[in-house]
Amino acid sequence: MTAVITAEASAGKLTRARSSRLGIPGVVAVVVLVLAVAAAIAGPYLAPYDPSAGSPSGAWLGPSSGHLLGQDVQGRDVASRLLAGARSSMLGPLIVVVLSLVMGSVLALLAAWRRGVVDSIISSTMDILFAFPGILLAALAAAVLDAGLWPAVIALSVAYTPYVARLLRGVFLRERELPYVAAAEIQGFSAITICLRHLIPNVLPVMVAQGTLLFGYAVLDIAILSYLGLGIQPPSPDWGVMVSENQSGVLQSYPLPVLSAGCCVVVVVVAMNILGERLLGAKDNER
Amino acid sequence: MTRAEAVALEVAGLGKTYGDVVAVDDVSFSIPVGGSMALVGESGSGKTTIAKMIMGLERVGAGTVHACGRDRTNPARSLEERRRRAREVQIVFQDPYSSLDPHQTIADMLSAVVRLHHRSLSAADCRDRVAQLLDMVGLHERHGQALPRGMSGGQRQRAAIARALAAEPQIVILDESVAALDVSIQAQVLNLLADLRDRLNVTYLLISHDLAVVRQLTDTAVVMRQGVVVESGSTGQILDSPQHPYTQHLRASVPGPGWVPPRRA
Amino acid sequence: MTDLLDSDVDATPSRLGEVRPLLELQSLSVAIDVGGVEQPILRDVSLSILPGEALGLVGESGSGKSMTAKAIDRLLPDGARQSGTILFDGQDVSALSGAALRSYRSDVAMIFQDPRVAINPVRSIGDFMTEIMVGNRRMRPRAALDSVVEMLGRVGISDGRRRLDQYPHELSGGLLQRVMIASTLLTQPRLLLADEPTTALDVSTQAEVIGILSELQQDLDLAILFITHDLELASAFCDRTAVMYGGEVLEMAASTALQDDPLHPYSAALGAARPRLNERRARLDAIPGRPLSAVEAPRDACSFAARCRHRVDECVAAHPDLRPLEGGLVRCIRAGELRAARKEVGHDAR
Repeated sequence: MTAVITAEASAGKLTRARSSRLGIPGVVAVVVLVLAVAAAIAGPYLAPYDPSAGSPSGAWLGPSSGHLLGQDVQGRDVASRLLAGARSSMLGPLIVVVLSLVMGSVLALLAAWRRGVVDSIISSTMDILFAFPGILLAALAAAVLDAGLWPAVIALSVAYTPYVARLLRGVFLRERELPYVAAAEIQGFSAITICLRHLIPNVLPVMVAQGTLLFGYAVLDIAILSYLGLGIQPPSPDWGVMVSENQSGVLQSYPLPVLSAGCCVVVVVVAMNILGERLLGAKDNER
Repeated sequence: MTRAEAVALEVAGLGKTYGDVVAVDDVSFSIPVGGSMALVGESGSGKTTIAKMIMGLERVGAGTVHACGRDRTNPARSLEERRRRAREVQIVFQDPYSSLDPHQTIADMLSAVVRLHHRSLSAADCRDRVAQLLDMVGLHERHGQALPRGMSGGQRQRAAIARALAAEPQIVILDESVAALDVSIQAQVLNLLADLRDRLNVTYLLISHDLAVVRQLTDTAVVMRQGVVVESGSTGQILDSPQHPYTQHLRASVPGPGWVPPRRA
Repeated sequence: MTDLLDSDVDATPSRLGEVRPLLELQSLSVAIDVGGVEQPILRDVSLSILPGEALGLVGESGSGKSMTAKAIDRLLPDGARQSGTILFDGQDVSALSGAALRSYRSDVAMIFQDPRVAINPVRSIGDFMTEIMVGNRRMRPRAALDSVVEMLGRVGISDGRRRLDQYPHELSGGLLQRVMIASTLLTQPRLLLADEPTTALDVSTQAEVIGILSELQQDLDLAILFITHDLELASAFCDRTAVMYGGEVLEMAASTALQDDPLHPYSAALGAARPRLNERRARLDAIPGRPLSAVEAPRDACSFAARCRHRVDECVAAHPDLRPLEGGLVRCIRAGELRAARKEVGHDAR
C-alpha cells in the first residue's frame, strides 16, 4: 500500500524527495565542482602571477603574503600554476568522458538491441579490452604517437569504453525487455527512432551518473600520466605535471607544491564520485 | 462458421521449441472478422508464446500465421512491411505500468503512432485524431498531457488500448490485459473493450487464465495445457460442460459460492 | 437467491461473546509523514479474529488491507504513527519487547504474494527451513530436518527429503508458496497473516494452496487473516470477511451473508462488478471513478460517497460510523433502508 501512495504522489513530491536525497555531501560536492569549473574557465585570468615566469632565487620559498601557497622548484607561484592548470587538468578528462560515453553507449545499444550474435561479439571484444589497464594503453599510445594530452585522452577514452559499454549494455537490455519497447517495435518504429526517443532518454540519468564517476577516474589517470611524463609536458601548468616537477621538494622538506596539486586532484575526484553515486541512487529510487 | 465469413486471424500447425522443450505443439485455430476468441491456459501452457509469434516478436517455429488474409509466418522484411502488419494486428499488454514509456506524454505517444501510419496527415488532423482516440477509450483531453506516472492503473491501460487502436488494426490481442487491474476498474475496461468491439468491428484474441473474464468477452475459446490444445469450441459450451478433464479441473478451481477446492491432481 | 435473502443470516458469530479473540484491533489508525504532512493510511480499523478462525480482508489497491497486516506484524515503515491498540491474546502488542516480542513473532507468521522475494535464492530449501528451527527453537539440526520434512508433508509435499536439496529457482511458484507456508508453520504459530498468497499463482495452483490453508486451519486450529482483492475467494475460504476502502472497514459480515446479501453499497458494487463464470452479462455494473486511498478519501463524508449510486446529501454531510446491522457491521447511513428496499423487490418478484 505504501507503493500505491508513492505512485499516486504528485510529481512535485518526487522532485523534492530527489533533491533532498542529494544530502549535505552532495551539495558540498556540487559547490566544489562549480568552483573547479570556474577555475578552469577563468583560472589563467585570476592568477596573480604569470604561471610560467619563475626566478631561481625564489625556489622552494614558503607561503608569504605575496605567494599564498609559496613558490615551486623553479620559483614560480604555486597558486597561479594551480589556477592556470585547472583547465588542462579538467578539459582532458571531460573529453575522455564524452568520447567513452558516446562510444560505449553506441556499442551497448547495438548489443542490447540486436542481442544474439552481435551481442556476443561486442561483449567478448569488450571483455578482452577490459583486460588492458588504461594506463598501459596510454603508455603504448604515448610511445607510438609521442607524449602529450591528445594521445593520453584517446588512449584513456578507448580504455574506458568497455567499462561504459558493459555497464550500459545491462541497463539497455533491461529497458529493452519492457513491454513499451515491444509496443513501439510492433507499431513499426525504426530501431533508431526507438533508441533515440525511448531507450536513451530513459537511460540518460544512468549515463550522466556514470559520466561523473568516470570523470573522477580520468582526472586521476591523466594526472598520473602527466606525472609519469606521458601526458601533458612541462612546463605547461597542470596538476599532474606539478606533482612530478616538485617531487624532489618532498625529500627536501618542501611538500607544499606537491601537496596542493595533489589535493586539487583528490578533491575534484571525490566530489565527482559523491555526485555520481547520489545521481545513481536517485535514479534507482525513481520508479 | 462457414467459409463465407471472412477470417481475420488463422494459425495452422503452429509450433515452437526452445532447445528440448516443446513450448507450443501443433496449434490451429481461426477467428472470424469481428469475432472474439480466448486462449485459455495457465503458466507454461504456451499461450503467450503464441501471441508473440503472431506479433512477430518471436520467430514461428513451425506452421503458419495468416492475418487479414495475408501470410505473416516469416519475419517482416522491411519497415514498410512491419508497419502494414501493425495496421493488421495490435496488442495490449498486461502490465499498465511498464507498457508505457515513463518519459512520454500520452498525447505524444498517440500522435507519434498516428503520424507513423498516416504520413500525409496535417498537424491539426493529427491532433483531432488523438483527441478522438482519447475520447474513444474514455480519457479526458487533459490526460493526453499527462505522463504515465500521473495516471492510475486503469487510465494507463486505457492509454495502452488507445495506442493499439491508433493504427486502426483489424485484430487486437489482449494479453491478460485486465488481469492487473482492480476489480472496479477491471469492469470498466471490460465494458470499454466490449463497446469498442461493437463500434469498430475489431477482432479480439484474449489471452487469459480468468474464466469469468473469458466468459464475458469471448465467443469461442481454446484451452491449452503444456503447449497442446486440450479443448476448443464455443466459450459457453466449454465453461458450462467442459469435456476434457483438465478443463473440468480448471473450472472447478474457480472459487464461488459453496466452493470446495479440488484435491490436488 | 431470494430464499437466501429471506433466511435469517447471522453474520457475526455469537461465540464472539464467549471466546476471547486471539487478535483484536481496537480503533487502529496509522499515519505516515509525507513531505512534512501527516497522511492517514489506516483509519479507525477495528477487527477481531477468534482462535482458529479465517477472517477475510478484502479491498482494492490503496484500501489499507496490506498495511493492516503490517501493523499487526509490527512492520510499519519508519516514521509511521500508530494510535489505537492491537491486542494479541489479551496483551498489547505495541508494548512488547525482548523475549515477549520474540515469542509474539513466532506466534504470528506471515506469507506474501510473491514467495520468490521472501526467500534467499542462493540457499537450499533445507538450509532455509532448518535454520528457522535451529535458530528459533534451539533444535539439533538432525531433529530439525525431521520436523521440516514433516511440515512439508503437511502442505502436500510428500517427497520432502528430495526437495531439501533443491534451490528456490528449481521450484514452481505454487510449490515455493507451499514451502513458505510450511516454513511459517515451523514456529507453531497461532495466527497466519496471508497477504494475497495466491494472487501470483495459476488458478488451479491457487485452489491447491487454498485447500492446504483450509486443512491447516482445521488441523492446527490456526487463525488466518486472509488478505485478498478477490471477494469471491475470500467468501469461499473465510468464515467472516471485512471489506476495506480508503483505509477503513466499510463492512464486516459472515462470508455467506456478504456474498448473498451485502449491506454496504460498496460491497454490493464490488460483487456486481466482477464478470460471472456462469453467465455472460450484457454489461458489467462497473463502479465509476477509481478506488481512493486513505490519503485521498474525505474525512468528513462517507469515503465511498463519490462513487456510490445510492448517495444522498446526508452521505457527504458527516463521516458515518461502523454500526451493527443484521448481525454484521456496516459503515453506511442508508444500509438498513436499502436492505429493506431490496427485500421489498425480492418479495414482489416472488
